[in-house]
Amino acid sequence: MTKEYPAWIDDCARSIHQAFVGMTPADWGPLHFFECYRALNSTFIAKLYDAVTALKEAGVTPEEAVKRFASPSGFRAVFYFAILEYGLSDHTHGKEAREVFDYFNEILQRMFKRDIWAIKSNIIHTDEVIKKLESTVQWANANPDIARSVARLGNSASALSYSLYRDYYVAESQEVYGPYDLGDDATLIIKHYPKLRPTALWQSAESFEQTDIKIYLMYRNIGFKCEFIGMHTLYEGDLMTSLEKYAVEIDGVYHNDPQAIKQKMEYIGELAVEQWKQYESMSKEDIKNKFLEWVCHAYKEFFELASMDWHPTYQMYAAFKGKDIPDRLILDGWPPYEEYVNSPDWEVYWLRELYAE
Amino acid sequence: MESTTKPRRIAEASIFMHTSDMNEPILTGLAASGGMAEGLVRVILDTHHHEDFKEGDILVAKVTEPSMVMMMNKAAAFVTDIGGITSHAAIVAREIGVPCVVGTKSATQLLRDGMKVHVDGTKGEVYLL
Repeated sequence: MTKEYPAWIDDCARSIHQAFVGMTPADWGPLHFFECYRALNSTFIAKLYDAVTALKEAGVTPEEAVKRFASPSGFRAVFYFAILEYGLSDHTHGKEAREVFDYFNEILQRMFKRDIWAIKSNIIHTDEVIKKLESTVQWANANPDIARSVARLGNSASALSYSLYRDYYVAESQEVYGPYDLGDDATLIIKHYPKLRPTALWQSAESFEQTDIKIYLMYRNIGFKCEFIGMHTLYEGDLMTSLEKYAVEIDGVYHNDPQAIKQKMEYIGELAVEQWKQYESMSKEDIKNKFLEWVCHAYKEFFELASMDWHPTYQMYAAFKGKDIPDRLILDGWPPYEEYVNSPDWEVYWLRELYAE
Repeated sequence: MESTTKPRRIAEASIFMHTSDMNEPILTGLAASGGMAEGLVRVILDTHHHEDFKEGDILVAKVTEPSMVMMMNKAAAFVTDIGGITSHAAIVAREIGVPCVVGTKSATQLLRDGMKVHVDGTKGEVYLL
């Protein structure tokens, strides 16, 4: 710690602000997430604190806990949501919140090889793992038509992910890793769509054909960076003509044939459209309850590691009951950086205040 | 103005790598994904899938939603009323290699189904043809 608060808070602030200024917060749904976390009022932080305490008592190391999160960006996102919940609460659970945040920071330190808050990249694979992937992945040669088909398959998988987890928890089931420098101006990008069959959340997912999709993309002469959420990709160069090799792996089986890719793209896209329709028949209370399930499901394996039931607690349901939460976040944009980090209206101020106590 | 070259068709979408003389843009916004495309406008005002959306249509929406995935996978370009450089439309457009202009404020009001437009995703401009 170099100031009155841990150094990670500055990186966290920079990363979150960088990511949010480019998004469209007025469109986030299906609920106003600030109001959701305000309503929770640290009832979920209490559950997280119980889990962290249980893990520490059981001697479970952060190295072991890391393995319980399929998507590093998803973990970064839920870490941010925990900060938000504390900030919007009545601040009576400061001790518990600090324990949780410190433990989560430990997890992040072990999850990433560098650029922990994804200022520019999203790197979790070691050089050795990347070398092994280069030689073991079943690569196919690309051309612009195939590049577009593979990208559309990714779009379908992404849409299904959004349909299952909506705007706030979508990173739980989609991740983009990279850039991995392969030398000679070649770059590896890995798109990963885990948890695409979350039967604990949706009965409809029982019939889905796939659980996990990985798309390996080897480009030449492109620039790549991403943000807080890895799927928020920014490229330089023409992705269609720069793709040299690709591989599509679905539940451990390669599907590199262009026709198979097109068929999967259509099948998964249609699943996304059908899944989205379910929201039309859900009441506001159904949506609120689903939100609580999303909140907890993101930590499902983490809670199970702590021998806890992953479902929302009675206190969480009670905190939500009867609360009138708007459908959408009403926010035209994000404040300038200096205002964001110094205003008591925003989470960075609360975090610094918490650690200064 | 860039020099005019022979249009080059890429894949299934009507994406042309040229700039021709045109009138003033009918819309401007944030250049979210480069390249150019011409096609017929389809204004999508709800989150439902529209079966009659054709390959090469220009998807125009207030914002794009993942429920529009099948249309997005057919569209030659996206134009939205609101959005930033990492909004859904912008990210998807860059990934699948189609032009995209976001944050035009009034695309869904100014454009109508069947209008033929030229979308310049590099400059963030939309022209009526």
